[in-house]
Amino acid sequence: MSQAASASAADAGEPGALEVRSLSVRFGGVVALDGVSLSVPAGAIVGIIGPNGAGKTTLFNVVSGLVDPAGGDVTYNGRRINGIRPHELNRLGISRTLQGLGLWRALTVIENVMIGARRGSSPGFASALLGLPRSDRYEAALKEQALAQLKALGIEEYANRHPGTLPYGVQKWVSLARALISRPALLLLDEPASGLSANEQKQLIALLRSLKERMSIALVEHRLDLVMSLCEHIHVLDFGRLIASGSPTEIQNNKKVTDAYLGSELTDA
Amino acid sequence: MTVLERIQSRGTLLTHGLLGVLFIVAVGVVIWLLDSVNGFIVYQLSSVTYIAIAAAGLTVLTGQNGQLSLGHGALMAIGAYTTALVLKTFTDLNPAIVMVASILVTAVASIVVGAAAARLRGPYLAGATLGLAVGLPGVAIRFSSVFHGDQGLTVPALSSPDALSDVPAEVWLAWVGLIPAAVTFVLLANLLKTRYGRDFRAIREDEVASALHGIRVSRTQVIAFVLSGACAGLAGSLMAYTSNLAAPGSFPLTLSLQLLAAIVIGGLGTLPGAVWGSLVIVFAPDWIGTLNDAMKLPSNVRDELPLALFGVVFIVAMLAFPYGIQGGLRRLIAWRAGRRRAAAAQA
Ligand SMILES: Nc1ncnc2c1ncn2[C@@H]1O[C@H](COP(=O)(O)OP(=O)(O)OP(=O)(O)O)[C@@H](O)[C@H]1O
Ligand SMILES: [Mg+2]
Repeated sequence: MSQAASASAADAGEPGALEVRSLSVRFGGVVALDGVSLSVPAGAIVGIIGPNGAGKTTLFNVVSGLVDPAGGDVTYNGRRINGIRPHELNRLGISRTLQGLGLWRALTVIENVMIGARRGSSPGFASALLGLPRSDRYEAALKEQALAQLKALGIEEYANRHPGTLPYGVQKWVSLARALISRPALLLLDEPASGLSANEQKQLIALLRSLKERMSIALVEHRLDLVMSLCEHIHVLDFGRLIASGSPTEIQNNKKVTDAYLGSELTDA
Repeated sequence: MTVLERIQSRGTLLTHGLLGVLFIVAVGVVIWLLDSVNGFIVYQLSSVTYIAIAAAGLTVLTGQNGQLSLGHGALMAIGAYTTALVLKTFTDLNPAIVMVASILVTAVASIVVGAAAARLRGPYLAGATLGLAVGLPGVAIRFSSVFHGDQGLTVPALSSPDALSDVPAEVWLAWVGLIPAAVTFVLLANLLKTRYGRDFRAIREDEVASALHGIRVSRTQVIAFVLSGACAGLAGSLMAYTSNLAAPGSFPLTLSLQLLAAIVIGGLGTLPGAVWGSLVIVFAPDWIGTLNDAMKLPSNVRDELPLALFGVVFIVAMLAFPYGIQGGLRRLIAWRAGRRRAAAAQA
């Protein structure tokens, strides 16, 4: 499928499908991923869990082109996207949030969100330099779009604030707005619930459920209750290996999974 | 709606363009009046115009985009030599065309430097651009037949048109400098308001997050470098017109460092700060010199003192105003607005 075609499929609100096959990643001596195969079917919310250092973030890093795998394939909507450059994700309709927020603190909230928007037909350098009406119109439309996204998440009152001055929970919402403004077909969330209050977690669950119509979601999360209540399918990583895959009930009753979590808690202590 | 808002609603080009024209007229009048008091100050103001152009480009590159360049003096040299060489062949060419040619040549050179710079970070980038600043003047000496070595190339003086033959030379020079300076600031201000400005700043802060949200990091960094280099080229051209010379001695490493000092003193990353900083850089050495002479110190101390004093002034200023002059002004305005609001609340 051509890039233009997949982008327009994404604009039509069709959820995307992700598949990774026998993915391996090594950092020097550390094997971060070891032959991992898993999929995020179109329209699904899939959980990816595992103890600290299991390789969850690394998996996202490979999919988003930040880390080159030693072996294996990444397929998006049936097309191999190995070796994709990170800036191409936006055009493909893949959005990702970062474990550590990664907001731009020198930019206002609305500017942060404006950057996340699709970079389709923006006016060129010359019209921006000259401040032509075309450039003004584009900027105004983008601003409106970003404001609408902030409103949709109920944080429009913070539009002109700087992220660093806001409570952590609001910052998390800003990073979600920044990921959602491009109307992604696939959303990769790296620990979206960390640092959120119980109430905010409830709001997050409701939000993610409401997004399900329009996009597939891969959710990396340590809060297992949240994963169990949201995801129809869960993959479990441990030391870079996929040790289990299945429905929430199957995962809860899997001995390997409980052992892995118990093991990590023992070493953590 | 205030008058300002009404103008702003007509678009960026009109708003900034109008401000630019107002600036040219206002400063032009000040220069005219100042000349009868002190012609030398007016001559120095024409230096401020080109230093400010280069500083504006540098503050976008370093302050907004986060790429440190110690080599902008060398890029100015490229602009100055282009001007000298073009005028050697086409003696009467319109200055505007000569300046555009200088901008283009420097921009092309900046593509090469910028592409290398986009691969380098922190100290490596500083080192590479430092190499440019130190090495490039050597080219003029190595290829003496073209560039006339240490002596450099002369540049014919800008003469005022016959209708304005009463205008003193230094006033005409400063007036002419105001136009490219205003155009530069207007264009940069336009750009910084758009996606490009946001992308520049986003990259400075977090390259990974920038790439993940669709910004082509390296390409944007090269764009910033070329933009900044184009400003340096224009500044160099104007400098050649002002000093009637393009010679290696005019572009020492200290010129690059002065530009950096200017943008830091003025307020890193802000366009008005580039103006404040350029004024300080051009005028401070004189004031310090006067102060120095007034202290009647033995000559061995007196000769070294200006530089030391400049360092002290710089450090004290940065401690007092960590965000530069523009940052200080902003705080002052915010503070006064706060007091007015408090007063209004009490009344
Ligand atoms: N860029 C890197 N260079 C070297 N080692 C890395 C790099 N990124 C990750 N690792 C290592 O790879 C392993 C997997 O890390 P990863 O961040 O993917 O874990 P995770 O499952 O996301 O953990 P957490 O739950 O703590 O976020 C760890 O041992 C980590 O130290
Ligand atoms: Mg992680």
